[in-house]
Amino acid sequence: MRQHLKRKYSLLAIAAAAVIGGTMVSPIAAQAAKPSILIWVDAPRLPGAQLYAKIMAPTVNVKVELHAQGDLLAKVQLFNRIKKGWPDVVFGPPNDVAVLRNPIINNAMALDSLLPAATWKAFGNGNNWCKGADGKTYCIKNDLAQSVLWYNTKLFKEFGYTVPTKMSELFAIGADLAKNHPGYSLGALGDQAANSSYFWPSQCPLNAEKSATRVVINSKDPHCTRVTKALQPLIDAKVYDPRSPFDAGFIKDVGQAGKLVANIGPSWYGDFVLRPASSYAVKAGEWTAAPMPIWDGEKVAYSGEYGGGIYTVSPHSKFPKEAVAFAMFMVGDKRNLVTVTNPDGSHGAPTFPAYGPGNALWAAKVNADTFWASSPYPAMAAQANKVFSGEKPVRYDTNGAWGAAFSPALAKDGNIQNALNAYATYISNLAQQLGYEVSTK
Amino acid sequence: MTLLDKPVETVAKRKKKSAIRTNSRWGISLVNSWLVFFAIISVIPMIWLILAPSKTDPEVTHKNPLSFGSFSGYIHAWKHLQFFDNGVIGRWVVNSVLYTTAIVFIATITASLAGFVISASTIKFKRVFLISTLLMMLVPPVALVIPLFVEMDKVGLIDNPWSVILISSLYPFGAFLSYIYYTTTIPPELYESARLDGCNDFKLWLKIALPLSGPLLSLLAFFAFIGNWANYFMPYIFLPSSTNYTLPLGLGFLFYSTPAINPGVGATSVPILKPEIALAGVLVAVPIMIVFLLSQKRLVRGMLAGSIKE
Repeated sequence: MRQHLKRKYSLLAIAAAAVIGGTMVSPIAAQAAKPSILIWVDAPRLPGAQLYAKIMAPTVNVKVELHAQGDLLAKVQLFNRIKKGWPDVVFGPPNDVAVLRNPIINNAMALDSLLPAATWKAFGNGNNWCKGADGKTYCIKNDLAQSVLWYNTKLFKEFGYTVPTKMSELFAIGADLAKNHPGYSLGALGDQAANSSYFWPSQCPLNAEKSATRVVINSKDPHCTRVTKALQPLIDAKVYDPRSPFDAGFIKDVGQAGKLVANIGPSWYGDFVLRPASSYAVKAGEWTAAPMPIWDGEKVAYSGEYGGGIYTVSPHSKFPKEAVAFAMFMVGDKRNLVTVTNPDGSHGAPTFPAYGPGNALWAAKVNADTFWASSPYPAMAAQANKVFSGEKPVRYDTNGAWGAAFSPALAKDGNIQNALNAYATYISNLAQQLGYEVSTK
Repeated sequence: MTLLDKPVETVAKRKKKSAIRTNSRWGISLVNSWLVFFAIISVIPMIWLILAPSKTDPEVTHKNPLSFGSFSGYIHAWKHLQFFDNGVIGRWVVNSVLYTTAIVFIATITASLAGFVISASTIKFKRVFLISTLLMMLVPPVALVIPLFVEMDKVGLIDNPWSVILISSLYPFGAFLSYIYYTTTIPPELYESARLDGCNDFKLWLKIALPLSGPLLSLLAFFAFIGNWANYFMPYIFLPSSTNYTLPLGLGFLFYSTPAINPGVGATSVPILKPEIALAGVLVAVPIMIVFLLSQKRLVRGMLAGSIKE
């Protein structure tokens, strides 16, 4: 009896295992004749990617997955363990190109041979970020987040200001605000804002990668100290705010209170920070953008960047051409840049396309927008090829470090040089941990 | 006892009683104050979470945190959540329910079986099994990520819900709890008489132990539910596709994808702001509250099982 039962339960166990196994282990798909690519994008890129999958359905199997950008590295490392599962093409933040190029991770291939020279040329300087120290191109820039000077035309007129073309003129406006219009502001400096708007355009060497093993970090360089010296009295006078531009208190006290006179910010700042009702909610017809003011003694009015996503292609992809074709659709095709419907009901790409021909298509959309006092597009276009190229993608998290080291130090005593030094110390440690030799020259 | 003794004794007793009553009153007030204090600390965030989706994004920041917006706020927030990856949140809800149900079922049964085997079966090496169970309780899941990931890949279960279900169903705490229960609440004589009647170990569990395990099963199921409904780590590792996500994983994803919480995201055309995030948080938290409220009585009974030996 006992033996009979034993046999019965053994058979049951085997049958259950077979059933579970049968449902769990998916059959290995036969090698399809059609190329297949797996795309990972973030939520704003999803409508365009899904449209691409639909368009390409007859010729390419395109699978689109949403992913949280911060998870990419951990997941790629897990895929490296099992030697499969990598997405063919990934949209990510700009610094990912350095992280993924790291030989330990090895998940960004050189793309130079996959597109004709004319296409690369059409990016202008917009794709410089993707060039490694070896001269090869490891990513395709989706959009530029170049800084421009956003300003309130109504307040400028009321206070008798002209649009500054030099940084010294902008700071003079700040001094006048402190003296004659207390409470009015030129923006917030917390998080990455101080870098993308001031330190980076001033050529301050903070993440200046010289080779795969050497980075220059020098917060006491004259290109940095000219910024801190100019900003400090205006921070003390409360013309610049030490909080983040996204801080709820700053939004309420300054943004929504109509106290913001001008603000150097990225090209997407207008539509996604100044305009939304949940953000600064500026009034229609009052704001526009001007090109970056130039630092005294310089020849070029450089911009910095706050964001500006990239596409990287995995060296493990069996179909890199198809993967690159997707990236080019996103940066150059009218169906994505202008017509695709976004979740909030808007149409087209949300930010300034990095690819020249794609950008020309997108320009009409911005120029037709009547919200602005005048189109901000000319200012964006003027700065598109002027992002200072000394700041490079590096293997450590530069953006997280602004939040972790710079912002708390600035909030603590309002001393911007001390805060910058704290940031430099923080990233120097990070850089050394990741095998960089850190120098000040 | 004289007649005079009585009133003296009564007065003394009264004094003592009155002192006890006074002490009790103070003691009760003190205990109640503590309870109210901790209730406020734990309940206020929950009330805030439930009220937040009724407001607009600026209202969440600027209005009184415990004020109510409007009922339409919930509808707006839900509609906006639907914009995220074509309403994938609905899929996350279904996934969470399915995965958790499967895990609770498998984990409860296997833990009960394991606990029974260690306490009442006639197999060898019971002590080894018991110590192994205790050791398993000490190993944090993070330590096993890479071997488990490789193992799941070998059996073809990466990005397959069964990977999470099977791994999460390993429930050493439940097995240990069952062992304690079966050792302390069911008299060994009961097993012996059943064995004399021809029951093998499985039948003993099925016919004798299981019918007497109501409070234990409730407790096992409750802890398995709590641990797995809110589990972030396992789905994060084994389920890369967003369509396979669970609610807590999706909530983390929403957190990451909105500039309202993560300014680094910058420009986005997806209308996910604080009320939408709060509503997703409500979807994660409310089932736990409901399950807890519904199972309170059985839980207390289960927790006290075996505490008194007659």
